[in-house]
Amino acid sequence: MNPFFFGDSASPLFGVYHPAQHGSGSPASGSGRDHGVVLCYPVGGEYLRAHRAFRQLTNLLVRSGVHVLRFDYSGTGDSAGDPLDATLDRWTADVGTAVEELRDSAGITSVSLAGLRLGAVLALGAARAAASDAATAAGAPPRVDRVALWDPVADGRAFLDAMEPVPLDAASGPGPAPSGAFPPGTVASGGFPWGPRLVEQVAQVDLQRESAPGQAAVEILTSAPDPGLEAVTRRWTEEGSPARYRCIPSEGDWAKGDRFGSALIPQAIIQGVVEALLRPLPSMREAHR
Amino acid sequence: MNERALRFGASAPLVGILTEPLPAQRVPGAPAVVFLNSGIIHRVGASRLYVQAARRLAADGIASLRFDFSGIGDSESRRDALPFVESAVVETREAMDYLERVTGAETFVLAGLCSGADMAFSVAQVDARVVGMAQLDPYAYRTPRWYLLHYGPKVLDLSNWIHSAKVRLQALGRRVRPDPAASEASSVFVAPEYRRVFPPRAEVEAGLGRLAERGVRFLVCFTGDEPHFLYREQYAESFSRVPFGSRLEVEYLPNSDHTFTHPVHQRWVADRIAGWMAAWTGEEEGGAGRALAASGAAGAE
Repeated sequence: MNPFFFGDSASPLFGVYHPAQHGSGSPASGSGRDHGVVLCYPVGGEYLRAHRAFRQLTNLLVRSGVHVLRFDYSGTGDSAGDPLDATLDRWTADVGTAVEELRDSAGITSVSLAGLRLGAVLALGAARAAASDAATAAGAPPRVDRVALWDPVADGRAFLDAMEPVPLDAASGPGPAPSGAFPPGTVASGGFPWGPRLVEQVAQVDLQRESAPGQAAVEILTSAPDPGLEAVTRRWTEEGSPARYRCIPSEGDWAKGDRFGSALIPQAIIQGVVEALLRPLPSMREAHR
Repeated sequence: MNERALRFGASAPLVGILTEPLPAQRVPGAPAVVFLNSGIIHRVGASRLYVQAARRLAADGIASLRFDFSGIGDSESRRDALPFVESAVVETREAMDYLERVTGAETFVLAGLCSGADMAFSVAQVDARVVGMAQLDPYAYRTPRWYLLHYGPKVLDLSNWIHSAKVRLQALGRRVRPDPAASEASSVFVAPEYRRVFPPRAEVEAGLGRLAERGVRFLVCFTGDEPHFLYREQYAESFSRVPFGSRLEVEYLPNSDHTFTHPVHQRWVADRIAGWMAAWTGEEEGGAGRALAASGAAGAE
């Protein structure tokens, strides 16, 4: 593994690159070429709870012959930046930067994305952007082959309501006023400040109304049955993105933690994400069946 | 400010982030700060507190390292069977060794929340390079005034007596059985290996006494989530034999939770640690800090 900073030197992103362990497991299927996966963390308090699960997911993937890059978005984790400057657009662009970094680091052409919760929304956005870029370059191969959406945030408003945001101007504490000020409309949840632009963008997330993400195959995995997302996969397949839905019942709630900071590691669905990323890429004819 | 990702450690590959001030801003002779994991939260700290504090310190010319103990965050597990309370001490000292080589720092401040505060105390006992500790929700012990503040209002409230009686009556004749749903749910959780048990007060008092005599400085901050702590003076009262002198500074944030989830509290803590470090950087009024830094930092051996 190699922890490193990459991207714009003025505001670098922190990532950990894990080269594939060739020969120690079944090779990645996909298109038969060397394959890599960029992992997209959830955000806020869910990020801290998911860190260990992402290491587990990484270990399983690299043992299966897949290169992995997991990284922190701007203003989160160890990456540079102020969280108050964060937007979904910025984070989606960060995912694109990570895709290019993995392609360069591993010397590969086939890259998939896997995202958990809000990270799934970013992965989907990055896959759509990659398809758009590829379409403008005649004859260019897909820049993202597949995207796995793990317990995705399907309804941004419901997600925001559930995280019980607290207006920052309601804060009270002893001692002198802290340095700097928070912009009006900033809220706090899960230990992180959410700026007004980010809140506005998250509120607009609605996977039911999203169009198919272009060339990338889509795998949606949920911990509880979600007929709405199942219907989305059928629609996307009809629109040209081979999509599959799978429910793997799993305990635990990413939105809730305990004061001791226990990590949530739902093994069954982690294994399901690995299997989804290792499946042979479906042809459109198979996807329509 | 510059940040570098590092791998170091002789006993297990440990991952950390070194945050350094720009060369022109560096304060010569100032201690470097080492942030210690809280539970199994990785090195960014609860609510990303360590990242914020590290960058705030760099703005004041202080270098810092936040790293993951073996088996936590991005650091690999050890191959030996050393228990966490011992490996954490070994690995923190390796972190200081590494910082000494790459930054030239000769003295260190250890900072940590909860178990991170506990490990800071343990490391300071055995390594004289530690000249300061910034501890968040460290060991706390009740005092007579604590009992008065805690139980006083309840004794006078009739509803508390009624509630207590009901609970005791309901407990009679009812066997407590494990909740199968709870155990199933817990199978997907990984809890920290370290189970926090406060040592006997006399043991901590003796340890703090040794540190105080060595000239170590203490910044102690309690939150409202620490049930053993109720008022700012409690810390000094509970360790009345320790010759803290002017080297102890205590803060109490009753409105903050244990993991500092409110961004206002996070900024406040980062500012407070940086302000406290001014004793070494000379940014405080009177400029005593630069003299402290130049003298080898507060009497360290």
